[in-house]
Amino acid sequence: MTSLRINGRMLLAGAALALATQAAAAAEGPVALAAKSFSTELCAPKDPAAVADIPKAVSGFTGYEQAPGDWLALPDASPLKGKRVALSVMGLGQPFFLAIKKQWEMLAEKYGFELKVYDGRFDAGTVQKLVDDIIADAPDAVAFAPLDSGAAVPQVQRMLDAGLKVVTYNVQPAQVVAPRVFANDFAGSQLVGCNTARYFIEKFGDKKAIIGVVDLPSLPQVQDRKNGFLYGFKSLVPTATVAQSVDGGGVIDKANPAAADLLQGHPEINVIFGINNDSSLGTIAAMKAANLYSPEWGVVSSVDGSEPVMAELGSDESPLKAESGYPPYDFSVATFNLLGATLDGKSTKDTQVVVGYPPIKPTAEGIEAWLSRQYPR
Amino acid sequence: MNRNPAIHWIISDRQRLQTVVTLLVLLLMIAAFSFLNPRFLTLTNFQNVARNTAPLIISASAMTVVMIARGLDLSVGSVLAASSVVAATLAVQGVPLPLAFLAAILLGCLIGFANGAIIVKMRVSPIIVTLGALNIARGLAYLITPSAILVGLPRNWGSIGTSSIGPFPMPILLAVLVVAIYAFVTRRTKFGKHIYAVGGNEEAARLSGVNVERTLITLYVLSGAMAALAGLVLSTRVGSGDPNIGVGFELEVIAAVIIGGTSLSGGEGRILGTVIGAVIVGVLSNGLNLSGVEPFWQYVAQGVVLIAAVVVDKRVNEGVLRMGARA
Repeated sequence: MTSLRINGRMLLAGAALALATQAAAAAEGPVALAAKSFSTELCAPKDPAAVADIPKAVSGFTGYEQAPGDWLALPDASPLKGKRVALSVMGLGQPFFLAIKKQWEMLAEKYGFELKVYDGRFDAGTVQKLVDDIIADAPDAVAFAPLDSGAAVPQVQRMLDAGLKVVTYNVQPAQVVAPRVFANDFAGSQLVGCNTARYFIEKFGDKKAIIGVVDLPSLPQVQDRKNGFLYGFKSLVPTATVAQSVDGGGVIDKANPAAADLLQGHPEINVIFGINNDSSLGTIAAMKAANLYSPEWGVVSSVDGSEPVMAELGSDESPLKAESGYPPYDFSVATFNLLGATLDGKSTKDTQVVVGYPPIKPTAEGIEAWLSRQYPR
Repeated sequence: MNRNPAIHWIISDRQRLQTVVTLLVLLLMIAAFSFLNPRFLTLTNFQNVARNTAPLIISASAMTVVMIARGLDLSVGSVLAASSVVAATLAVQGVPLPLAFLAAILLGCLIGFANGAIIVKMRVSPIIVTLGALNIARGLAYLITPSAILVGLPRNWGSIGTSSIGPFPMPILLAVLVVAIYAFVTRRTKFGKHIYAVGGNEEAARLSGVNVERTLITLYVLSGAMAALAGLVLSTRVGSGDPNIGVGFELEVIAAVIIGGTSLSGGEGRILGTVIGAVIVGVLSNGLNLSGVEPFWQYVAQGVVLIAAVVVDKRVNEGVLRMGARA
């Protein structure tokens, strides 16, 4: 009898606490709540069984510590001075690669080297042709962005055979052929998963989490992103389930109808992860069309950190409340330094730099700090 | 002898028959997807499909008459992107939205005029000219936007893509308006007859007094304008001025037109058939997502269903025509 009374009291106290938490959450507003629950630390699984089946290495470039260290420091002078440098990008249609190009142009001006930019247009054939063009042009150093891991091996090997100094960045060749700069796609988005879960718990308490993913299943790196997110989220919310992943193509006009279908097919979904910013922005547009655009709906999160998403992250009206950046400045500087070291003979083909996915604090200061460093105007 | 007046009415016109068969294919797909997911056959989902298909219907209507006149416009996806980027850039700079939208439509007209003029005056293949325009327009879209995605769009940017009049979303109303105008023009006006005449036999049309050059240039101008309108619908819906939108859109448009029964060799086609073809493309994608089909299998399923739709259409068409001939 006494135990029943105690249990009853505990139940009441628990309910009151939950109500108080919800009232406090309502009073604080979504941005403040997301800032409060934000962390730069990874989360450990509460229930290891819940995450045991999530693959940790699809692309083969996971499992490395994200520690770029001194590779991100700008030197006083560079071995690239006076040299001819070729920079290839996957496609200039994406903000990330436009920012990379801009950063390299600034580096070329500051350190006095001649820069030629080659656009792969996200097309395997174009990348193949630009490799031929680079070999024909015979620059002193090449910063190469592969499009396809398998095709990149012979492409890089051909440039090396032609006597060029090559560093690869972003997507990597399937075998180690040259010094490289890349990000750990699993660990990077794992942190977004953790922060999304932290916010979800803070905002919605014990509510069942049902996840949808606006995916790009053809890219292995993206699968690491998706799995990293799920690992992070389910580490803190082990009962979360995945309703469906849809193919959003990684571009906003295809992600939008795919997200609309996801919401229509699974109205119970209350967590959506977009594998990049086009995917999350397409989702946001679909939510607006379906009258679901509200922080009370649930939470949307993604990786990239481009400017349009920052407006959503910092808005109390938006459900997008967790984001990690894919850092163009860090990629540019690390690749620039590694290319200099390669030209000086201070690196081997095994030298690698793993840059991080910095989580972006959803406050005006956090957003400004991210944008001013990675996407300077 | 066929005594059923309904069947007689259908088979008495080859184009009408083709439209009915395409409609049957669509109904079959709707029945199958409704069986697979109860959320498919709902008003919300139909609004969803219609909203997403509206840009396709708008551009495909214009493409239908271009193809009836034995032309082709491969530049529509890039014109869509360039126009939406122009409108977004002007809107960000504080130009009132109606003027920004008008500028986008004018850009579409201009590219369409250039396409038409080069095809007609210089006698260059439409495939080559519009393929060149595809690259030029996409390049312009990238050149106009220095940072790939425009930010700072005005709050009323979604006035076309996200607003409604009563229960009807604006994109759907616009698509209906465009279809109605094109259907009226092709079926009820002298210009419409000229389009079929040019597609059927250009030389014969010229000899019978049709201004072939003006007809063709007008059709390409309208194709550019409708691609621009489709771009405005799409970019105001997604809330962005993005030069990457519309990649591969031209192939969806052509697929919708061909599924709808327009002949690749010109002279035949109906706007209503194209609308059904566009809805088939939209329903297929939506239905596969709602049925939870794995993304990689969706590619396979889309290819199979699209080929099957055309084959079934052709076979049934031939069968009914044979039946009609016997009767």
